[in-house]
Amino acid sequence: MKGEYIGELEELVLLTVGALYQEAYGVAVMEEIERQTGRNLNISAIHSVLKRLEAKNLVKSEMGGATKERGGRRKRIFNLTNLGKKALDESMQVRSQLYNQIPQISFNFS
Amino acid sequence: MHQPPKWADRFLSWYCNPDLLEEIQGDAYELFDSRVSKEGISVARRKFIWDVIRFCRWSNIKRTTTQNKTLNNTAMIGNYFKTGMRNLVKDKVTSTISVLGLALAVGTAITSYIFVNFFLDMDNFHSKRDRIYQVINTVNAQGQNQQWSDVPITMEASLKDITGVEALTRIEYGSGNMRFNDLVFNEFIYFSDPEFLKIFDFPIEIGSREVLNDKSQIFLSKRVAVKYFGDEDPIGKQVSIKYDDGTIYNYFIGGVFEKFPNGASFAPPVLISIESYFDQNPDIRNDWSHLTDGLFLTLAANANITDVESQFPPMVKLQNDSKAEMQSKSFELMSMNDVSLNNHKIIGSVIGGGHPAGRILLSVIAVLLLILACANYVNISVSSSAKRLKEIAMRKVLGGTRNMVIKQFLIENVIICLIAIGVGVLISYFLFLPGFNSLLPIVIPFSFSSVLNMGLFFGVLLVFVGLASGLYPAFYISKFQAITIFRGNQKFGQKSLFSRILLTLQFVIAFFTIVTSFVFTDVSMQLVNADWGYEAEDVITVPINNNQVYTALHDKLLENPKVKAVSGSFGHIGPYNRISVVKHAETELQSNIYMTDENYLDVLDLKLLEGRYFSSKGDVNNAVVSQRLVRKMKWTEPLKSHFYYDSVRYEVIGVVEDFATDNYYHEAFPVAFIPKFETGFNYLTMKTTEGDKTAAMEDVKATWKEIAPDDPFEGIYQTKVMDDFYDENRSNVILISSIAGITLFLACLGLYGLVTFNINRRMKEFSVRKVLGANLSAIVGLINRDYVWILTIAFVIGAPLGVINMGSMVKSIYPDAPGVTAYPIVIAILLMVIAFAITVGGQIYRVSKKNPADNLRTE
Repeated sequence: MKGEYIGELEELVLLTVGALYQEAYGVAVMEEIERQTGRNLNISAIHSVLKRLEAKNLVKSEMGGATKERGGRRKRIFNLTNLGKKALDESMQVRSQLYNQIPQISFNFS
Repeated sequence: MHQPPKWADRFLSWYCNPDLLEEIQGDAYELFDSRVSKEGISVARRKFIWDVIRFCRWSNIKRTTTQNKTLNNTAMIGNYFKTGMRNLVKDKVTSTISVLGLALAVGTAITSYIFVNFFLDMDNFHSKRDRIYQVINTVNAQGQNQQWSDVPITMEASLKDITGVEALTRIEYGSGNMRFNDLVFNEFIYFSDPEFLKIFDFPIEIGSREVLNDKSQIFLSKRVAVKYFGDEDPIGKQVSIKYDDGTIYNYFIGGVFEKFPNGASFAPPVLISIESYFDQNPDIRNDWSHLTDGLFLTLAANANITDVESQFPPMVKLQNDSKAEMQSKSFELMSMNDVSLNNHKIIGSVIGGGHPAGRILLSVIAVLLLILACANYVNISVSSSAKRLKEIAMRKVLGGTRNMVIKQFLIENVIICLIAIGVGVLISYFLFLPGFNSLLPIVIPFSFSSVLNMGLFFGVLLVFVGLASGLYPAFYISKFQAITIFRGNQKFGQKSLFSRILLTLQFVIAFFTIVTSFVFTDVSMQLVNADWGYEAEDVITVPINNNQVYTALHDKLLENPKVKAVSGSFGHIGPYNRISVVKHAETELQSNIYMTDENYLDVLDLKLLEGRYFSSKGDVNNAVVSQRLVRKMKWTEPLKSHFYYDSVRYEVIGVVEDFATDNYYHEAFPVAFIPKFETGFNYLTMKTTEGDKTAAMEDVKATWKEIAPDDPFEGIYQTKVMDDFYDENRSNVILISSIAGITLFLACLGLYGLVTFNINRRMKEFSVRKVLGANLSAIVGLINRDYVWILTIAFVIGAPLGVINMGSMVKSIYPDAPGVTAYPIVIAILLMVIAFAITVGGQIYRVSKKNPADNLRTE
């Protein structure tokens, strides 16, 4: 089903949201991804991915407190939902499962 | 602290969904701030713009959901009407004033529209109107093209055979003395072809449209028929017409038109077959040099104008060969509609409603008044909304959007406009149009050319007045924030320079028109009361057209004890001022020449200053002149001077004081009296014994009937010779005064609006002043200070303009008029002060009556 499928960028953002726990909002997610992977994403892309994830119930959001540098504007803080955690777990499981199936021989290519 | 580009920020808030705006804008700002420190201001700004553009995605864009707004609409509209009506009723004075102001302007607009519409839509009762054409004669006059209505009378015969031409009629003007038993009047006559009645659809009461085929049968207009026959059936009655050359023809009444429609720009009082005209003037029938006054034709539906016109050039040549002094360039067909619209350019046009200048002027005045009235209304409605601030705030708090408040005020405005238009229609119907008609020689009915036309006019009027007067108040009032109103510190209405300038301008116009109208009235009154320089009371004047009648009447009248003196003259002071040239040495003077017998001076009681009047036949070459002639000739000893008139030398034997000969529209001419005895008179003038002029008039009338039964009696009292002038003058005075009155009224409305506005604004201030012990006069001074200035400035600009304007206008209209006196200006000031006092007084009274505690307690 399309709704349950998450793309590569979605997975990355979802992971970041989980990692930034309680501190995940648009700019923070963007900077974290850039720091960790070196990928330079536009803020608007992060926003739409977050919105998509929220629509799939993988994250939930609420308005946080005001900060000084944003001209007093509040942040929208994103958090993983259980479903989101489960989706990450599943994708990790699929990966490690597939990874473990790789025969040892294939590592001896040198 | 650096700021991102303002426009980009504003663009973001404009497109962005308000629910998402905070987080998006926040992120954008945060990034901007961090980039400023890391990458510099210009890069940060560029990137901010890029972000804003990238954020502009479908999911972020504001989309209106109409669901909520439509839900309650009908109920709210009902509510708007209700509150609107309540507000109207609650403040009756303000509502009445604003409605009246608009209604006056609307009334003017309706009246002007009907007037313009009437003239543009004349002659529309002719059903073949679209197929009727007139042959227009383009004449080369000193290198310039002139369009003439006149074409050769015999051209009709040549046009008859052209395919496509259905019917033709000529219109040849004439006049004659028509007599039935002892009723004799001079009548204006149309000589036309029998087809006249088929081309034009003048409604016929009795008689058939074939009647004119018999040249002894004639058609009369209703008015003429009633004049001769009263209620009797005129058909078959015999009348005689005596033409200018003295010949008398007998005719039978073949038909009578209905009363002509109001919109008829031309209509025959008496219609006679052109064959009868040819009986009198047999040579003319085939004479290419004789021009008739108009030649009309109808074309068949499928006829081609160019084809018909291509037959004209040979006829142009025929005319030009026979009439050397008038060379035509071409003949053209012009449709009746075009002739109507361009009739002021066509010389001698038979049809059409006259020059468009009056229509344009009237439309301009109407539009100006409408704009002024709307501007006033804006002032008043903004100021009166001060009382409704709480209501607006409450509506907004309870979920009303700005749009809804705007809608509410527009609806209220539409109510007022509808009432104003209704009242305007009444004003126009009962006041303006009848008033207008009484000043004009024609009667314009209160009607429109069609229902569609009327609907369009009122629709446009409503939309124009409604929007012009309603938009600004609606947007201005709806802008207030609910919270500032409730907090009580809504700043209401800054001192608006615009409305002050508008008001000043209005008062300038008001002063200008008032001074103008009073100067005009002043001059007119002076002219009315001016001494004519001779005694017109108890003088009767009778026009005469032949010697036998004169001699017979003269002898009879001398036997009448009521008649003191009788005089004959060729030319007469008042009705027939002949203008001719008198010469002395090198000087040539345009003068009024009256050729009179020896009694003329006594009959009119002219004041002789020097010398004597001619007395006997020995005075054949002596003349009497007026002071003005002496002055213009620069004679020092007039009695030893002479002049030439008509190559005859006349010695001056007397000088009379100047007197009024004519209307005052032109500079008075010098006058010379030249002797003429016993024959060749065209006027008989008599002086009756004091107070007997009415009885004497009856006697003269009776005598006339015995002597000249075929000619109308046209005697008049000498006192009436200038009545036309005075009537016209009176009409002008009324018209100018009315316009001045309306302008003044509108200006006062504007003043009222502004005063109310400002007093409302400063009510609290006045209350505090009163509490602290200010007396009323101090407050009055405070209120009036501004307006007195406005009034003074307006007066300083407007009044001199009015005086200068009228000074030159009076000089050009009445060159001999007495000078402008000071009293028009005094009256204008007085009127303004009174109007000002009434307008502002009511408001001051309100301030003085109001308990200051009421105003201060509210918070």
